[in-house]
Amino acid sequence: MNTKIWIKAAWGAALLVCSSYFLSFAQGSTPQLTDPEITSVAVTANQVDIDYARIALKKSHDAQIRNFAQTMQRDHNSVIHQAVELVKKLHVTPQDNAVTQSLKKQETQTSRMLNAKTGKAFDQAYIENEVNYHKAVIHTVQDVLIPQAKNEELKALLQKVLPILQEHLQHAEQIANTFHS
Amino acid sequence: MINLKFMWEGHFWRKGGSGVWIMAALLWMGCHPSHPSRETTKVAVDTVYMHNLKFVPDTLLLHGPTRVVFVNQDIVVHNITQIDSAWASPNLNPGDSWSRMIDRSTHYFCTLHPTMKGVLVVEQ
Repeated sequence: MNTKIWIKAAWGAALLVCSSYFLSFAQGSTPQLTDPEITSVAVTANQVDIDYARIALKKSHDAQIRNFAQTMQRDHNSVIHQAVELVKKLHVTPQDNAVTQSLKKQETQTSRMLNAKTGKAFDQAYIENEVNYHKAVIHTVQDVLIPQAKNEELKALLQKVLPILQEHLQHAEQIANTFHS
Repeated sequence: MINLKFMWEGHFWRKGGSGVWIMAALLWMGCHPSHPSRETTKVAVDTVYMHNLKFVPDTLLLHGPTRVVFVNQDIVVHNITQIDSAWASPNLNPGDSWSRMIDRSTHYFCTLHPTMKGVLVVEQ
């Protein structure tokens, strides 16, 4: 097996361990994405978390869950706004791809699971999903999207998004811990 | 509008004229050390940036009461809230700034991103 295949296999294993969110491509190898495909993944990943937040705001009465969900809506909308502005400036059309499809497929399943729960069980399921989702997205942005982005402005935007996702993860973990204690 | 011709040629500058008294008063105000307008210009100003979801610097040492300006350099909304909610800024959009006179040491954070924390230490 040559080095290139080994590297691809290692990426695939790492992504598989990280989360099932990107399972459909992680089982094979690291996807090779063009800039239009990267913008599509970035916008979709943000939109998925906005959709989860919408479910939380509809179902939860817990103050810290609602505050977190409102922050997710606000922050991910800001990131989408930045991405759309950049896409317009660069005259790039986001292109659907296997990663985007995987995110949407997983969203359908997760939304069904969340909608079936109520009360504290919902709150716990929502925040645990947020922890796992942000871990998976951080991994993908850090190790797939940033290294593969060709355009410097797109790369810079993804680098700006990373600390936002990392803060969301820490915030979600803090809330999740209160449900376990 | 000031009539310069009048000031130069007229009664304005003559002995006992109004110009002499006005200039004397202005000079006294400008030189007197306890004049209030000079006090306000002495207020110290320092800046904290919100950058990459952190307050930078996260600990700021202030030499006495200081007006602290908070500048949001991120692409998301932040706020600055005193740890016991004694005071709070409004939500600041990207690029916005807000300031407050700080006269005592305090901890603060962003309620939207609670892992963002900062300390202002006032040396008396």
